[in-house]
Amino acid sequence: MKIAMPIANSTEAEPLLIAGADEIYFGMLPPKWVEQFGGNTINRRTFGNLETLNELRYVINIAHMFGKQASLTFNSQSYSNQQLPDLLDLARYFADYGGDSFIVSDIGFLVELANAKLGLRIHISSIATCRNTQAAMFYKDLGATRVIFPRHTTLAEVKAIASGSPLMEYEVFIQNDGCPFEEGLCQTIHLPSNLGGPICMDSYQTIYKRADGRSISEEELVLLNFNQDDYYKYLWFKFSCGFSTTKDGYPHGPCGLCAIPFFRDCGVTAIKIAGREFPLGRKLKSLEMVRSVIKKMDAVLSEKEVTDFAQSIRGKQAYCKTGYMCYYPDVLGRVNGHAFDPL
Amino acid sequence: MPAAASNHQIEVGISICDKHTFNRLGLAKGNITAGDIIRLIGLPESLLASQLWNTEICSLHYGNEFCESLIPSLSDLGYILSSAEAVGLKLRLATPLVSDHGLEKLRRLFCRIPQGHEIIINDWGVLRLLRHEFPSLIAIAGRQLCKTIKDPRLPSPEWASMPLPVFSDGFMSSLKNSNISCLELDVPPFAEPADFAIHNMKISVHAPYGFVYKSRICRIGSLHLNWADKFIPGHACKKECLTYICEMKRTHALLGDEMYTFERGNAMFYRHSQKMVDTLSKAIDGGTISRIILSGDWNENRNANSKLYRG
Repeated sequence: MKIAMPIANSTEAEPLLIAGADEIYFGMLPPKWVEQFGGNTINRRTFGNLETLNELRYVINIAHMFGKQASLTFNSQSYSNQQLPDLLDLARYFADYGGDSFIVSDIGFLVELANAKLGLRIHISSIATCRNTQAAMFYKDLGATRVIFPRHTTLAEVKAIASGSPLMEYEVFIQNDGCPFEEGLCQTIHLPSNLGGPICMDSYQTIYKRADGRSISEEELVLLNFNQDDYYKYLWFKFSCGFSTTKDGYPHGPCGLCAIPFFRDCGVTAIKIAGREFPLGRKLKSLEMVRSVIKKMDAVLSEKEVTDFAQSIRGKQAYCKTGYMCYYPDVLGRVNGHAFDPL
Repeated sequence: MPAAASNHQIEVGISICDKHTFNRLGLAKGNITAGDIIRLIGLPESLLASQLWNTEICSLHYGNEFCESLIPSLSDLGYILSSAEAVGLKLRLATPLVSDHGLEKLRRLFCRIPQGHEIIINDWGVLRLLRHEFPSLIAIAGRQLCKTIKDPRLPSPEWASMPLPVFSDGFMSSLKNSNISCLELDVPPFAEPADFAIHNMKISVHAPYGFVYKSRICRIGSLHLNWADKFIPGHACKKECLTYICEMKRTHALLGDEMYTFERGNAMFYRHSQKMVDTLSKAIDGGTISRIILSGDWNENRNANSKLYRG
């Protein structure tokens, strides 16, 4: 099972490869693109991108020196005809330099890329919201070789899709970067904080009404308020427990460490550490956690023993038991006999 | 309402996800106009393009685009199929993004739908299922496949930099290869009438609401769950979205006239501004839109006090 690791600039590649990353992925934002189309339209972020072709060539070369792979991300939700020539030029440079795979979400660009026959592997981004076996086969029909599952996919769904369309590779989120929504279907912008920031963190007053026009009863109001409080707790966990780390620097959730044995057994090819723009130190700590769990797993510990170890790393077992810090809360049911089973 | 007659032939449909809405809105009686629906929902008359006011509703979108828990049962679909047929409404089935579990539910429904009917798809997997197993059903690309920025908080058009994918040749060819010739769109903030002029495609537009985001985690759907079971992918629910609407007001709104937003179930919507109504009206006059879909029940229910809504 490979570990896919993001880099924000070329200097991050070497330390992460030394630390054990098997694949590095990154975006590239050429200055010319910014002039023509703006900053956040090529891979959904203005910062945390490579900027020059020299950097691009360097990170591919260094990945190969370590015997690892390099993937270039094109994960905007959609691209226009005006943007496609520049995207294809960039893709050709990447191919010429020996890059390994593209990460793509827009169906239009996927079609163009397949037509260009650059001979590289195509990974379907989580932004493409591949949620079922037929969707995986749809992308395979278009030339894709791997699907990166979106967040909020259950273990049972991963297993069903991986077995239902077995000729594809699959990749799952394992560390960092929560989103309470279906990311590929969020049609908003992460605005600057003075304009509200990401909509999932913006400050909203919620006013409930009944669709039948009746008044909300006191009993209902109590229930609604409790639910609202629980939702805010959930968001706090989903956003890395208030974007915090342990005293040793391990980031809090979202996290899927406990599910790694399950993914290995399903034949999942890669596990993804997200957070391209996070500091290098956080990435290294995330990688350290993931590698230590894999090491325990390879030592032929039982799934329960691996889970106990994974939950002990941060020393925050109480957080883990809520399930709110988990990418895959259903893993708690597997290990602890929790009754939840969505299928 | 000063209703202007329009020379342009445009179809008006209504979307419902609760079978009871069919009778509540009087659709069973037939001859319901777009204006009647706006009145029943309790919206300001100005929210409907005036040329649509007297247009009769002639089609019904049944199902839900956003949640697989709202996929109709076979018996409910059968009821709506026969009810719609009885009053001459053309039925289309709206479908959401689904898991394999939801895909199985849809497969059963597709078996029941007569050939030649249209299915609104918001999931490429559902499209593949249709093409391979139900080629006699016609796919329409839903608004979740046609992605564009629709952030109701944007202060100016410059922020809405994401292009409409429908202008990408690759996107269009993938639709054409799947025999799709109709797209559903929202009216994004700052849209222009020309945005709806899309070559060789029939365009349907949802009104008077656009969707902003959806989640697999449903806040209101977790209402009756134990703490440990809330906000989990695929969690159970009691379809609380059919009972509650959540108005969303920014507490630090910078603009005095922010768009009205609300959550219904797992999705957020904005109500069209007057500028957006005007844009839509001009696009209709320009002949670029062939169908308007009014939201019949998964909406803000402003007229909820009406006896019609008390089931």
